[in-house]
Amino acid sequence: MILVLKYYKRGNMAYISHIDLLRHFTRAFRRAGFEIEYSEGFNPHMLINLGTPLPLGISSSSEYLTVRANVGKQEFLERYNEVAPQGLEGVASFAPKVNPNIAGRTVAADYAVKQRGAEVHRKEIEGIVNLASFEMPITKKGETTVKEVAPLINAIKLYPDSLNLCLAAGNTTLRPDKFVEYLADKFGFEARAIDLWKYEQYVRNDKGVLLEMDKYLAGLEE
Amino acid sequence: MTLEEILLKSEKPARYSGGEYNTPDMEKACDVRFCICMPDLYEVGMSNLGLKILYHVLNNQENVVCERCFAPALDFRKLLSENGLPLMSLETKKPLREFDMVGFSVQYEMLYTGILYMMDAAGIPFYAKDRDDSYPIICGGGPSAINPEPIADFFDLFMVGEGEETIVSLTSLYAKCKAEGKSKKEFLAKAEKIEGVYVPSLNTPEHRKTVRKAVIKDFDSCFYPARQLMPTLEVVHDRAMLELYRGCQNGCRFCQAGYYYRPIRYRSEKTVRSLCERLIRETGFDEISLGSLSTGDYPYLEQLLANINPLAAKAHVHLALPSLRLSSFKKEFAESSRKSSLTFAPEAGTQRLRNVINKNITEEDIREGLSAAFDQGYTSVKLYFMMGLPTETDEDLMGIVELVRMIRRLFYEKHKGGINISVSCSVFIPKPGTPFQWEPQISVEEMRRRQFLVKDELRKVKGASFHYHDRETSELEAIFARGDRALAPVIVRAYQKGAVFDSWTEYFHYDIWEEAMREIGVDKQKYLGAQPLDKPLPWDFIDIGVSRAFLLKEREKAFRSECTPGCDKGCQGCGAMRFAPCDEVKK
Repeated sequence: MILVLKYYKRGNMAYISHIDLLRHFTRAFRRAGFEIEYSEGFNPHMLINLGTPLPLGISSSSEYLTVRANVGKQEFLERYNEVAPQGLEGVASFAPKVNPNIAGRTVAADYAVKQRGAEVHRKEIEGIVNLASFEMPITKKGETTVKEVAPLINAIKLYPDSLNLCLAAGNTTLRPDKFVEYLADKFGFEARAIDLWKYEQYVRNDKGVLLEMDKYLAGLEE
Repeated sequence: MTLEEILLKSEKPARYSGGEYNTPDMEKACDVRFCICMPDLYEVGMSNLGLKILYHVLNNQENVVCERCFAPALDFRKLLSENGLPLMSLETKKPLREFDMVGFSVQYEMLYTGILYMMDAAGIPFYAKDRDDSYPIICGGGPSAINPEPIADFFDLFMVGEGEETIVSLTSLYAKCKAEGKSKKEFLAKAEKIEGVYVPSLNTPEHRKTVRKAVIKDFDSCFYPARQLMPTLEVVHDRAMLELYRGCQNGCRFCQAGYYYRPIRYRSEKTVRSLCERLIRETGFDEISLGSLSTGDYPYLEQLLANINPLAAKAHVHLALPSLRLSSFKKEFAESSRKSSLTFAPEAGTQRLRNVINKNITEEDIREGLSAAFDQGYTSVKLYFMMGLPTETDEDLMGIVELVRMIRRLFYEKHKGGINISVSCSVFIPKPGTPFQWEPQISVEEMRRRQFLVKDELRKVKGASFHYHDRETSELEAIFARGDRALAPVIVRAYQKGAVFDSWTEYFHYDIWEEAMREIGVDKQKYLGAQPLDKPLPWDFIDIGVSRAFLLKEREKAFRSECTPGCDKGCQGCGAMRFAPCDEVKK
């Protein structure tokens, strides 16, 4: 059956690359003794589909992966957690009836970051979301280009000690670390990319509205 | 910048972040904090079985906490010093300087500058004489301890031989001395009495005691960490490694490991099987390597494979059998491994030279072994040779090419299509503890001539490719292998001139080393030339069990192209049994 694991990526594990992450799960699932489906061919490998990659150094309580295994969803979560590395603990499990295509369906994610000194710019910062155009320089492989990011910003909310963002994530992504660094620099407040925390991710439903991943997955269980 | 920010700026932060699965309790109350250091990158260091064994041996002690530290890559080292941070342990980020004991695992000669690089980053003076009691006890161990002299002045003590028991005796002694408020000097004087421990400051080249290497007498019940650290990023040997036995019956005359790890001690089939079961459960690795110096010679191999193959298959775990000798290659072994590439080491191109080095395989063995492999469907063969062996002539080198041609013909008798034959040629390095420890090494120019002789000839053979070792690296390795205390200042000078990561070709600059030797006034020929039989050697005081008389006898037989049968054909009287019973004799 199809199983989805929702898991943390935090602490030391925030520094693990996407490919190394896959290796961790392969090993944990073998330790747990699950009967996982393997690919066919010369070098069979466990069929695990990871969600959208998280930039290195950012923590998350909302990562997802899909496997096919012969075990109930509650037992899957419990047995996984018995052998999970610290920092990759499971949060919840789902048993959707169809392949949820998490990496393909994800369109946005919520992030929070500790901030100090942004209060004085509240109007401007929160107002970005209403702007028709918001450009920021993006450096890739040493080359800097100015990119229009307004369509990639869904929400910005300032709290007394944190800045919360809902940004595009998935096939088109606005890197939260780059965005936060840019805002902090532009408005002159304190916020560090390594303090970023991802706490929610979304798909878009038939009506074009953002839907929390957990609700989407629960809906597929029926 | 904080450490977290530095981590994000570095090339691969997971090298330094720690938090691996199966990390023991680092918070427990303890009397001794030990840090095992590997003077190479995380990916290399975490591939080392010895490190994992000693790490878990120590953490299993009630009063000891053991952490690790690997050589930082150049980018991270730079970030540390720019931010005024010293080198720290991986687990609790404690500066190396604040440990009770720091132990360097020295795998081979090209890592010597790595030791200084780590000491430098940690703010620890290189020479033992410059460190007062406020510094940790700096220990050394690993294969290089067979001749510790070139780096002896940097260390407070060495552990020679197998470390599982020595390291526990040492930490216990340290805890006791610490509680009694004893000085470093008093501790070292007591430490020297432990089997396998060498204290350079209490011995001079002119006057010294014999140091017996430590040997585990009951290997079958020797500790092995089935529950072991899981690397956080992909490492060089990303699999579980399980030793089937220690020692080797074959007695190849160039092979240091073959003599150093005697006597032969087997793990029983039952023990290996149960360790395999536990490894699958505790690590989740998708591959277990059943290692030893010559896995095909493990007497219970067939029975073992029959028993564990079903288990491994069920868990989708691949069993790897490295170090198979051609003559031990059997159909059932080939069937249990992936049919990708077959690796064998004939070491020399002609029977005459193979007899000289006592590599007991014949052309007939090669023919039979490969014939079986080709029947199995193998289409790729890797061959390892050495050049510059004692008595070697151009005819022997051409023998390599002939052998490759023969293998090619053999393949086309059975198959159509293409075959890949990859030939790797290293340079012979006379190593301490072998019958060839007195032999000269050929010059760099001569290495070049011989390499191109084979290369040009092999170019004419379709499907063959040729790889050879860097000549200057081989020369430096030979200098250090038979070095003495006069080399310590050379290593320091070369490090100060920028030599580090010498085992990585992109970082190796021989001109730095030649300059350092010139400036210090060291003549490399002293170490590269033939060593007189009647003069003492710098490592003579290390007793590895195998006697000098036996080595000399083997040397004479080599020059008569005379073979010595393997230990399985009867005891040859090498002397290693003085240290522990040899299972080959019991059998």
